Amino acid sequence: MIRSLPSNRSYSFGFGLYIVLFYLFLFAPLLVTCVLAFNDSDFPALPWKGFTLDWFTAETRDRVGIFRDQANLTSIWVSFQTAFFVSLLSLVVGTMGAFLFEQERFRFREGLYFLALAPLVIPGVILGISILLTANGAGLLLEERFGLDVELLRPSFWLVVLGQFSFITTFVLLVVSARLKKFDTSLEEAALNLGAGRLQVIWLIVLPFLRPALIGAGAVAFLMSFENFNTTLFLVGSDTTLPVNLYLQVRDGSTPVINAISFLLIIGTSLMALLSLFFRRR
Amino acid sequence: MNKKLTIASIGLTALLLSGTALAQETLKLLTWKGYAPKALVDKFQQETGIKVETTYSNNEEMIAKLRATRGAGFDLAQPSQDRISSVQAKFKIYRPIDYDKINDAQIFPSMLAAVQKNTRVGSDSYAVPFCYGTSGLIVNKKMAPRALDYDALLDPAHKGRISYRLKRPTLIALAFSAGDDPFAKYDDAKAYKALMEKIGQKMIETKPLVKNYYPNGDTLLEMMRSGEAHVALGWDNGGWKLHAENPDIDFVAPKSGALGWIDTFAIPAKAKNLDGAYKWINFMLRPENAAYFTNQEKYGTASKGADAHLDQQIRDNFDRSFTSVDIDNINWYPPVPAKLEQIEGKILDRVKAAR
Amino acid sequence: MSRGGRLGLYLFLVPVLLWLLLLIVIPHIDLLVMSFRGEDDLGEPVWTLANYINFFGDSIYWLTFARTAVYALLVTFLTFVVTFPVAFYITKVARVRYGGLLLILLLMPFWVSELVRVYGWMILLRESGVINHFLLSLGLLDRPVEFLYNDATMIMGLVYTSMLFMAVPLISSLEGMDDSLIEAAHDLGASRFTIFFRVVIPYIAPGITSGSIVVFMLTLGNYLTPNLLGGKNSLWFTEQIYNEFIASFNWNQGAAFGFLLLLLSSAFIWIGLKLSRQTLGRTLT
Repeated sequence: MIRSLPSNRSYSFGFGLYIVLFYLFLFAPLLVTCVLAFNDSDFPALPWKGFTLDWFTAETRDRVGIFRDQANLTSIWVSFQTAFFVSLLSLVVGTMGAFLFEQERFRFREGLYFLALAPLVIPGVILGISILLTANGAGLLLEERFGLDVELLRPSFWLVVLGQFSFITTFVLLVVSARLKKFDTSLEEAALNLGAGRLQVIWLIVLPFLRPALIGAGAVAFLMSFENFNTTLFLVGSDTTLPVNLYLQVRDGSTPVINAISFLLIIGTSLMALLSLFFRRR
Repeated sequence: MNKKLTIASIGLTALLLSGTALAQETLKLLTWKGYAPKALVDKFQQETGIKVETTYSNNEEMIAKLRATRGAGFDLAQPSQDRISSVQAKFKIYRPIDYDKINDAQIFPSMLAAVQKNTRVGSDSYAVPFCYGTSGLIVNKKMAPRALDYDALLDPAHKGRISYRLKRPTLIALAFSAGDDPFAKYDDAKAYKALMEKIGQKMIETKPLVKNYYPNGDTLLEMMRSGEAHVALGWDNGGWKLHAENPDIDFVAPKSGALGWIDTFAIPAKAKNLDGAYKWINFMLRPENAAYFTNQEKYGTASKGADAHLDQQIRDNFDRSFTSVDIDNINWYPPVPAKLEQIEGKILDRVKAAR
Repeated sequence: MSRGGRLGLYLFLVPVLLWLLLLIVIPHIDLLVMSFRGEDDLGEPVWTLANYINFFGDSIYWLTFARTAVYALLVTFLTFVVTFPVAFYITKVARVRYGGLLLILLLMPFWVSELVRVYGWMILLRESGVINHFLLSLGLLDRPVEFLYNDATMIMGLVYTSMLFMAVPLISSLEGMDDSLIEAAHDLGASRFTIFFRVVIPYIAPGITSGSIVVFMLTLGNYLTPNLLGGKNSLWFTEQIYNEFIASFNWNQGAAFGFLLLLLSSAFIWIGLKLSRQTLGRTLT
């Protein structure tokens, strides 16, 4: 049954087999995607026609590898920029939110807290369309009344950043709050007694204490933003992010270039996951 | 907190912010896949120093995107000529074309005139023709020798090997093969709706015959190539591309008439790089460039001098699929009035959801 | 009274209020308002119930809606069935170090974009795909079979995409459960079946609730997986919202659909919380 109890053979064998099958199920699509990125065939399918790096480096009329593919490279860069600003903004506001809900007492605190958690349980598509509607309404108003064209108020890079920020902040808030709960307030009181200001205390004592949570939340926020599709789909302007760009191509049909990009993504994110694990161990 | 980290992140922010602002001159192009071949994009950049950034799209998404951005974010779009005037009248997402800036010596005059007429709103016109083609049947002639008209898409003989898109051309094609003329009913929303509902009903009844509703051109090519589909509604160039790989497959101009479309250049209302947009239009219609595009993608071109640079194969394709009767039979799309999209959208949703 | 006086309060309150008001509250009010707007025959904007009447009047809309809801429930249940044994194995059966490795392996695929995972399934399952290739060369099939584009594949894909969000809360609940509870039940002669239903399940109920809420919400709002793996019949409700926004240019109708989907997801979450007597805050953390 469990490790401390004796169990019969067929039970452990059956259980073990299930686990093996499960992990096979889990990794099969990723492995196949990676392997076929190196197949010397115009389609991401078997049979195996030999090893090639064409889908990474080639530049001929029929084959343009990912490293020569300006459109895909640009979208990777756009996704990086988006993820950077989203994690920065959501770290700042999420941390402020954590302080607000953990350390302040004010009227309607419960209600506001509920509202702050809501974005994580609103389907992403709905966040996307509602932010699009509001931005469009406000943009039209400014344009018709004052002749102003505000880039933020139409699908554009910054509207994508805002859309992703709107729910990733909740995630940061939860992670930072969890750590803040463990903070020993006597430290803070001692500092206050010694004449430090509130902001000084936060900057010098509380934030360093929160650092592991901030780094962890920042990394996850980055990844959440990097792979977001549902909300982004409706808010994206001419700066297409990688997931949206990939979707447009996969819908069009598959070429091994998509496998090559997937391969890079899989390697990249695995490295990042390992790094964060390494840091957490330390 | 950690000072170095703070400074580093401020520095990185500044770098990324300036990175977005300090880019070189770019042209943001909203277009169909294949309409901006890499070789031509590179050549254009060498000639003018302008970097072309493309976003792939289709007619519906182009309109939706430009509507959402109120005509901003892109410098040039490539909608079909029939999808411009009503959209422009309602959402004002394009700006009039300054035809003085177009090198019209390189364009077939009749095509330019037709596009100008069909995209007129008020006293202005909004588009320049780029390429044309037809939709008809792509058939694996060995497997489906009797597929000569659109009704082959409803024929039990091809059970499980039929494919089409759930888009308006399918409705229109099936209406033509049923002996009706949907274009004549464009201005009579009620009659149009009744006709389309009838067609939708047929599509629901024959749904078990359909292999898949293909989402886009490349998927169709793959399905035809691998034998997953034998009869499909598709673009002529797709059929011709397949013919080059497998002579059994070809484009067939249907008896009730292939559907003719013209894709254009149209400039979004708030385009930033106007100058670059006109440069790209003239560049793409230059005979040798237009011919490169046509040789690669097999679409017909609006460029007058391109003929001399075309591969023999392109001419063969056309002659093989179109007799002179077929050419006369082509039904060219007239401008789509507003509201039709909603009627069609609902019917197509119903077909998709039906069991 | 708060520490550090009003200044601190406002410093923290203002950004949070701006975030919630501008990006959450106002957009959703807008969504509701837009869903009651429409055009009369002349194209002038008017107040109308037409968008909701369309929804209830046309069976394809509410049938898709109901189908999406039922399938999302099914996916949530299946995700639990598939992931529970793994969570149990990692926390209770495997040797401790080994369990840690399995956990890392379990998390890894989910850092990769959903699109890549769906794409992987597409090249595995399609008629000219990898699985068909193997089955044909092994002689198990004489002609390729299309595994893609049907409801079963779509549900499989949705389960695959959701597993992580069920596994993590299950694992953390199971970790908190003292092994002696199971040992005691075992010593008292309880069968595996009884231990599972009377001891384990009640103990990890909060974890099941959190996992189910997140999985349900994500499945309901998923667009990619049904769109790319689903077949010619598999209209998902999010696709209908997308179609209204993109193909029909009818934002008002799309807003009404969006609002209905929001109601559905909120209602299920609320019921889930009531049944398990939990609060949203505890569920998410």
